[in-house]
Amino acid sequence: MSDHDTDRARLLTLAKLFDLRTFIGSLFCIFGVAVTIAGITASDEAIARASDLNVSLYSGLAMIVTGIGFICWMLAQPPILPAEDTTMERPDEHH
Amino acid sequence: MPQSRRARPPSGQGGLGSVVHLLAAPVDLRLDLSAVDIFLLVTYFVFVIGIGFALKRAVKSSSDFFLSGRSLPAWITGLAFISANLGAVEILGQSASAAEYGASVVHYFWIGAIPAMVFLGIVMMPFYYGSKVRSVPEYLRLRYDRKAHLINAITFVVASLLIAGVNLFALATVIDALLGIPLWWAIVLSAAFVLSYILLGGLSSAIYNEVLQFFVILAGLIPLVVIAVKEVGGLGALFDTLGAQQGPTFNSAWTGTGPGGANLFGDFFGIIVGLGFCLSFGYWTTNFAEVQRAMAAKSTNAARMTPIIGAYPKLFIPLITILPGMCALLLIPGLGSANGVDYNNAIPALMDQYLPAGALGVAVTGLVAAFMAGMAANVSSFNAVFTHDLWEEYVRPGRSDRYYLVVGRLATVVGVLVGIGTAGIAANFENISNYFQVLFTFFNVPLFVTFIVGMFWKRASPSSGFWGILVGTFAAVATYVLYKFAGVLDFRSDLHESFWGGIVGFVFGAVTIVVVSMFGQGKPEEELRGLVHGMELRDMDEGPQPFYRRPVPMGMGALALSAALYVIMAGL
Repeated sequence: MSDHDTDRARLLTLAKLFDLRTFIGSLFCIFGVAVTIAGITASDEAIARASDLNVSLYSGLAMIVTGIGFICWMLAQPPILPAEDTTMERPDEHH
Repeated sequence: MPQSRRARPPSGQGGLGSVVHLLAAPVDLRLDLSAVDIFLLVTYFVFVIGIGFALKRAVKSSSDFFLSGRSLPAWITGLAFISANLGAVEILGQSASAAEYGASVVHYFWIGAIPAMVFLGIVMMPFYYGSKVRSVPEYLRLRYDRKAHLINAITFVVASLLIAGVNLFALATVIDALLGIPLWWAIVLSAAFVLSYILLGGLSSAIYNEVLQFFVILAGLIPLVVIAVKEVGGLGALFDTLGAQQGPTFNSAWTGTGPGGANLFGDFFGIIVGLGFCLSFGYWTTNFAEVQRAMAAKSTNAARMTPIIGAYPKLFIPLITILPGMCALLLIPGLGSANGVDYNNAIPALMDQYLPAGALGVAVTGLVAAFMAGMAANVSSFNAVFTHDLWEEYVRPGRSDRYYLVVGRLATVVGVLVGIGTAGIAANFENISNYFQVLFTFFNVPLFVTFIVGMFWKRASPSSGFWGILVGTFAAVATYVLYKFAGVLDFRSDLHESFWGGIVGFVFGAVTIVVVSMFGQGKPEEELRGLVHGMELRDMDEGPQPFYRRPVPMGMGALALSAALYVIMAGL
């Protein structure tokens, strides 16, 4: 019984890890951090060229916020596992 | 009228009207990528392949591979629905058209896409999803007969491969120009990426990457647009300056669309009926590369919501394609002139001129990702139609599901290889591939007539579908030939001709179906269940939904917003 429960818990963790929102969220967090750093270290000349906006800084921060938003969404509404009798290990029969 | 103006209609709609003007050798556009930009590009590719491996575990049947097991929520399929049509060919093509034709290009969105997407969701999707067909041609086989099925399946398969090849070549040209990776390396490398992630995860892989790419392209282009608009002095200044420089048909969508007007998009009747109804309904409601995304949804309601959810972001795509194109006309000296930057390179030229390290990497990643998503959409719909509609139906019927899964994977490999070959043809015979693309657009409208009549008129006989497609297509081709080569018909531009060609194809197709049906037997009622109006099959277990999950109010909202955007733009 407890084996079965840990199985379900493991499947749910996997489902969360492979949820599209996890992919988008983590990509945006990585992108956001890298772009923010590029913005912080941007030269005055690069900022002047971009119409006096430190675009890398602002878009980097916006990407971090977006990324965190996607991950929070995934955690608040986690993916729903298929019903009890169709675990992922089950070979395909109904087709 | 300059030659280039006749050579390339705006590419507002992917397959329809997006005759790709293969990129001319650019003035030096080599981007100066820094370490952080390359890091972003590499990270993105790691994610793409990672998604393929993650989804591989979920592919256990042909339904998983071709239709994502009909399991995806509406927000994912909805974003994939527009993303499949937001390849880099479209992004570069639309900005090029905006720089060349001006604000009228928004017609391709607000009247040429939104109404069709809403119609698909509200009216047509119950038939597609409810009848559980696996592809658009399969619907034709059930509703009409094998002749109609075969003509649609074959033209779709050929068109998909051709467009995949053209996409691939355009992608490689841009990678070559911007990043300095030699053309053939770029072709093979990009094809290998697309191939591997579709082989691994099937349609889910393609859809997940489309959604991911959608957000990356937004993150890349929004900062660019903000800078460009700031540089030209704001939206009001942009429209005023362009109106003064280029004339009033350039900065307003409806000016000059009356009889005898000068708007190159032609007259308002052609725009509303030809583009807004015939062409756009033909493209959006029968193109399997689009409809397949909705078929992957988890319920009838999610399938109906797919194009409607997609309609909302679609309304605002002009902000990241048409707007920068118009800005580029003021910001890039010599844009579109003989020795200057080609119109197609308006966005890359802006990126080169303004974006600093970091933001530049995101934009480049977005463009490359968009190219791959465009090609992946073609390949993932190609393999489904090839496997189910050609191989299973006509060559080797009645095999096991596993067998067709293997066929689907092999078809993917062969499809990508043929795509590489087609890219080679596109590289050498630009004109031929342009005409081929035009040719396939002739099939869309008669196909749409056949669907719509078949869905609403029980009497339409089995063989009338085939004849409707055939006669309608010939009528549209004849209109084109009479205008382009015989000089008998006169239109303001290729665009103007294409709208009226759509109307001609629609009328001839509809009349043919009616006439043929009058001489033939209709299908027995029991064979029409789920396929015809009044006999829809719907999921029974869906309870009442809040308004934001109901297709009708959300669809009407999109239409109202579309009209509001026209009004707002007219005020600029």
